[in-house]
Amino acid sequence: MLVSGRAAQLVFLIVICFFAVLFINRAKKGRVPWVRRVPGLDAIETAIKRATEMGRPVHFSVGFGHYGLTNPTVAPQMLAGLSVLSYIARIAANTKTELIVSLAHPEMIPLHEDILRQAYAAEGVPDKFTPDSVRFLSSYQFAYAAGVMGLLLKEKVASSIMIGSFWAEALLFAETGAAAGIVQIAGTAMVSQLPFFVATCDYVLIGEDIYTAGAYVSKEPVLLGSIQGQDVGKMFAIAVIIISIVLATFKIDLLDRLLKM
Amino acid sequence: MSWVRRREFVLVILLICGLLMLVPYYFKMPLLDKAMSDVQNWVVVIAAFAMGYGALNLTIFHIRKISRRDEGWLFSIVLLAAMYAMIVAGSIPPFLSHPASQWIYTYMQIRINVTIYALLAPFIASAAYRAFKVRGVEGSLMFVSALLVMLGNAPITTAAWGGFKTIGDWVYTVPNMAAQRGIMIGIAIGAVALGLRTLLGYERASVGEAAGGGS
Repeated sequence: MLVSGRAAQLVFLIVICFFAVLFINRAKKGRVPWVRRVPGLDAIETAIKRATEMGRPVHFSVGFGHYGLTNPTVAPQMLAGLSVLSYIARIAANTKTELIVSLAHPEMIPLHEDILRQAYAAEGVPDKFTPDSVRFLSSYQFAYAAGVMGLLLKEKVASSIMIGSFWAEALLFAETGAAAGIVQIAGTAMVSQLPFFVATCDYVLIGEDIYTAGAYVSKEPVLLGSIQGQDVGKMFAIAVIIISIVLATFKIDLLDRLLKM
Repeated sequence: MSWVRRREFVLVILLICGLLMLVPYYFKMPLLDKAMSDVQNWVVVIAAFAMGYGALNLTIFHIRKISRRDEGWLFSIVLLAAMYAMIVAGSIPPFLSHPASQWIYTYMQIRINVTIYALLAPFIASAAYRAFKVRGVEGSLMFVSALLVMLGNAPITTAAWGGFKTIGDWVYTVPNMAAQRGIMIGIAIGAVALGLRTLLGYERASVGEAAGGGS
């Protein structure tokens, strides 16, 4: 019945989900967990207000991410980026700052438009939303990269926020932005692209930070509760690693066999 | 509100599709395997359909730009002409293998793609220059690590002293790999938590809804 070699993975999944649900329920009852500050996310509001003062637009992208939402590695990162977009759009709407969202996957246009439309409506300025804010550039990686590079320079963007799945286009965006003096906040779970963002951006969300970003900026207790569950999952993983090291030192392969079940 | 636009309806579809992907990964169930494969095919079909929507979005935006004579409107004409030339060339039987379509793809699209890709080389150099400027403890560590890896990979230095290769490889495979694995474990757990929030309907971005927060 159970696929061979995946029992341990299922146990891990159940443990993480159990604690996430447990802490979500506790948060619903009013026990909201403390969450450490994430400078990159705190800087989003400042970056948008900088653009407001300069009278220039803000750019947002969830990245190219090969195959978009159809790729199981890429999709969660793009959804993580989208969870921050409504926060960005609400600040942009409130401060009357132009927001340009660039896209490489046309199936995501309705999602972006709906999020922006609702964010502008929530801030009481539904008429400020224009379909021109959401721009599909190309579904080819380097055509999309060229489009974003051109957009950053021609539209005189003041702040660029890039949270999602970035591939080789990461450095093309970020270096163009750095050279143009754009304030850049970037985050991705693509480990190979993180060094490029670290070298060129003002703030970087590393790996799992992007998955907590939506919960962090929304400040919704239920979402913050799930972050605490996530932390318990990390502690569980650390405990397994330490036990594995000890057992491996004494040449005991019990845990190794259990993990391969 | 139409029932198909109701949040609950969208969330139920999301939950069913999510479980159809998740359950067959852990359990051998031939019926669910078939359903999972069907859902994956639907996703590909929907994504292909969306390409038309993307072309429409692009066309409307650039026609507006041309009609308003916005800055760079001439480039918009070039973009639309190129896009529709490719669509027309690809619509003539035998479609994508038609010589016109092949010619545009081989001698224009690929060449331009490669040109943009090639920009990465100078960009890496300028980003590295910025990153390796020693500005503090972290900057110094990054500089020393990068220097050791570079010395371990450059033929001239490894020919001068074989130890550079050993040190470079150690930096790359021990501290670097340890940090990468730590990040990857965090990413995997974060993705599970995000998936759970999405399936339970707490994460609203996946259904196109704006979350709380804001100013």
